[in-house]
Amino acid sequence: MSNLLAQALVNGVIIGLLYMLMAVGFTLVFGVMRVVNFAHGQFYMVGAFATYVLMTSWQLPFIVAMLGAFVVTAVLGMVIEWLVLKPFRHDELNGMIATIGVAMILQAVALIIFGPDSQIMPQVAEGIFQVGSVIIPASRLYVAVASVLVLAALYVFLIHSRQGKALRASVQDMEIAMAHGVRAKFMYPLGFSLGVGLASIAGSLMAPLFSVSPFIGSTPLLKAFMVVILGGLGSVPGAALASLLLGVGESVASSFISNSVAEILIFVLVMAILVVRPAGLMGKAGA
Amino acid sequence: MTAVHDTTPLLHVQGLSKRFGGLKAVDDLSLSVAQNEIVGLIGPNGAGKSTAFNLISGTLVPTSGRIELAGENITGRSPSAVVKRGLARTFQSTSVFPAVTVQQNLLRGALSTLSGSIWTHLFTTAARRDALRKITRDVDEILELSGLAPYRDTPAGALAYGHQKLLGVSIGFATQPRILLLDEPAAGLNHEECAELGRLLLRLQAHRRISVLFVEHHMEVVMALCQRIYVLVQGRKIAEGTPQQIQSDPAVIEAYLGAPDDAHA
Amino acid sequence: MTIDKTAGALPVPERAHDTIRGGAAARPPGPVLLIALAALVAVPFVLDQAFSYHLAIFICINAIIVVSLSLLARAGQISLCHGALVGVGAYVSVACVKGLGLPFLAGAAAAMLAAGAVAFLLGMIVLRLQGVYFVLITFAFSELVRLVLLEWVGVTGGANGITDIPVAAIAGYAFSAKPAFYALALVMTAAVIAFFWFFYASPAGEAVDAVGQNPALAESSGIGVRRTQLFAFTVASAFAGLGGSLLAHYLGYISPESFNMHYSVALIVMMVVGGRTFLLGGLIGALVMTPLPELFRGAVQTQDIFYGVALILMLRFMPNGLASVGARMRARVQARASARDAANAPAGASEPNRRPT
Repeated sequence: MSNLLAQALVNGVIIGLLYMLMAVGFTLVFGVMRVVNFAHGQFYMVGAFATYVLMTSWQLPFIVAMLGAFVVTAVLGMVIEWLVLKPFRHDELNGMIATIGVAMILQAVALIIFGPDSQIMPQVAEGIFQVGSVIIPASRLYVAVASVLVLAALYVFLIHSRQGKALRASVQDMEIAMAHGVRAKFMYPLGFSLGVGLASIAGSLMAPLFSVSPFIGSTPLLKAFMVVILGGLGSVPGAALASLLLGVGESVASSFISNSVAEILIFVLVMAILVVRPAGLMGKAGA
Repeated sequence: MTAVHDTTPLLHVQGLSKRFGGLKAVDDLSLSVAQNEIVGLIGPNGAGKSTAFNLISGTLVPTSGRIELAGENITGRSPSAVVKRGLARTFQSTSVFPAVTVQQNLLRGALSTLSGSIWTHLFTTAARRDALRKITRDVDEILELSGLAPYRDTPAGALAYGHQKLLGVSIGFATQPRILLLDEPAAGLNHEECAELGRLLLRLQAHRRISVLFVEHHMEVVMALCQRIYVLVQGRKIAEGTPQQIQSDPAVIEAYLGAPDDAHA
Repeated sequence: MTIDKTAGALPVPERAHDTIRGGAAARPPGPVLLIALAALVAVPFVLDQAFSYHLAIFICINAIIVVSLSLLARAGQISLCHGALVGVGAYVSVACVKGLGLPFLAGAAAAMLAAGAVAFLLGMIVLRLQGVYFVLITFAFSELVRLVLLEWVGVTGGANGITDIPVAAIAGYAFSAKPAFYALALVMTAAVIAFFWFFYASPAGEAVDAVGQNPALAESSGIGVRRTQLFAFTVASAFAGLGGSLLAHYLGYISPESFNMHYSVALIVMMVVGGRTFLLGGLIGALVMTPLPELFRGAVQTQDIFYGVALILMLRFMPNGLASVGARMRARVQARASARDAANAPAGASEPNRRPT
């Protein structure tokens, strides 16, 4: 029993790290642009497919393919932000609906290019590690380590680099940031492309663990939503805590009950938490 | 509902504070407004005046402190609940509903005086129809008082800026408050328009015996209209008194009145 | 009347009337509109083909559902679980009629009650939060409903859905023939639109519009944003439930996948294309978008790209939908007439709009 629990815990933390990548990127986009990005899951899918294509057609090693996919997705994000979202920079409701349109288009295009079938990616690491009675496949450990490194790099960027500080200031309060010289017209594309780039990395990391298809974007989007609902939209520490909790919670629950029932229970639990703590676990209360 | 004596202040704020992270936007503010009184709240930009308004009107929840309206505790209640109890506030910007007519703007302000809630507002009874007719009459009265009657059917967004500000004040008045909080009602108005605003406020006060608390940078409006003034600097009250007392208070002059770029002409 | 020429298009109120909204005081529909509507309604009868009836029935049902979604949009919120609530209504209606043997109208009423109650409970929890959380949670809720419908096999039949649903019947008369069901759907649609016409003319409708247009000002004028949006969400969802009941007792078959996210998104597209702020916007959106899958003949991806592009273009260039075309033309005619009057007036009386520095 405790073996099962320990295994579930480890799996849950690994999944939680990926949720964290999704949620932090999503929160970043919302923080800078005040737009709920419904296409966030589709950028995850784009990252996965880009990695797949770079690895299979261009024979690139995984890390290079992942970075390549990041660049492709970030550039795509910048283009979409400029082409589609720019007119809605001060119209959040319609901007959000526009991202729904973007999501539809991205998935449909992927379906046309790649078809509906799942593609299997080549393995990135062989073998398994064993800690006590807990089994960790090397590929999953790889994913966990890579997630931590990416999140650390993001942390360094946001805290110590000039652009990162500007981005954080924009998330806090765009008007005040602009009064201090931050250029909004750079912050929007930067925030958006960085945010969706993180989704792309999550997609790249997940791709070898599961499979790649145009339909893989909806579940990560839902997870990102659950994380920010729990952790508070706009709070990165909240997103971090909530993603780990959600990952572990799901993993533990699925050890004992079916996935679907686990999801239902988790939703009910989140609703219950919201009744008691309307600001989420760590979010900010008030208008 | 507690009985209100003439000596009980209409609005009583005690020890009001608000922290944003490490920043104390409002620090231990106490003020009161009596019945039928016009009180001003002045101070340099960033002094916390708008925050104080947001706290009193319910838009923000205070970190600490107590707000009483006619003896009743309204601390932390939602803005719409506070309006129903007789305290209304206006906004400095987007003070009107631009897409509908002036008359409809005022009707929206008056809706809160209807009994029942939105769940019952679907249905019409004879009593409801009477209430609605009364509201229409009240709105017509306000249109006359404010001088906006010629613009009755004009979309509010098409009004000149000065008239929009007057409409914003009138919407607040349409909620039939006992006290009206005005957030920089004279911002952007020229001399003539300021005078018109001042006349409107005096007319409204005389008509319904309401109290007014307003934040303003236009010193001539403040000094001309207010019976008492509070001065706020960096979230703290540094002075209170009559216009004469405030004008000659050295602390106030140093912090605020002396600095030429803070006081609009 | 002073006109601000610097503020772009003249904001036109939906109805300029000088009596208070307290009943049917709004301007009645003009003769042109009535004739056009009558002609439209008659088309399927004239064509007398099974397929045109089928399409028309779907347009009616979609119109009911999208008009109700517009109520929530006018209150300033977007729901991504509207399709799921249609599903709730459908399954509840089927449970009542097929399972409990109740008449169709009872099933429809139960559907409205159930969908409304679910929305009320969800709204009570969610609308206390910042507005943006509402859309996130309705998204998650849509997925939850899909899972519940799939897992609760005993009640819902799981992935297989429910077949052999009794056709709608009132007082013994079964609407099994397509023309008959079309007539039923027409009557229901007309009743729903009439309800909303009275609604928007009432103080409740005024409150909804105020909250949608300027929530901070509405709240400070005594119109509680949270209460109003809860009301709008509940009523909108109740009508979604009605649509679900009609769908179930027309198609004779329902399954969880009929009410998934794709359907909720399609409803939003219909609403945006038709027009959120106009009463007939939902009808126009349903009219334009319902036949589209036929046009695309199964090329679902191309259809989705079209949906996405149409959505983005409408949001950008016609955010108030096709229904706003009439109002815009009227506004342009008015502005031109007023400009002519102003040019002819002797002493200029226009004041420029100013903003504070």
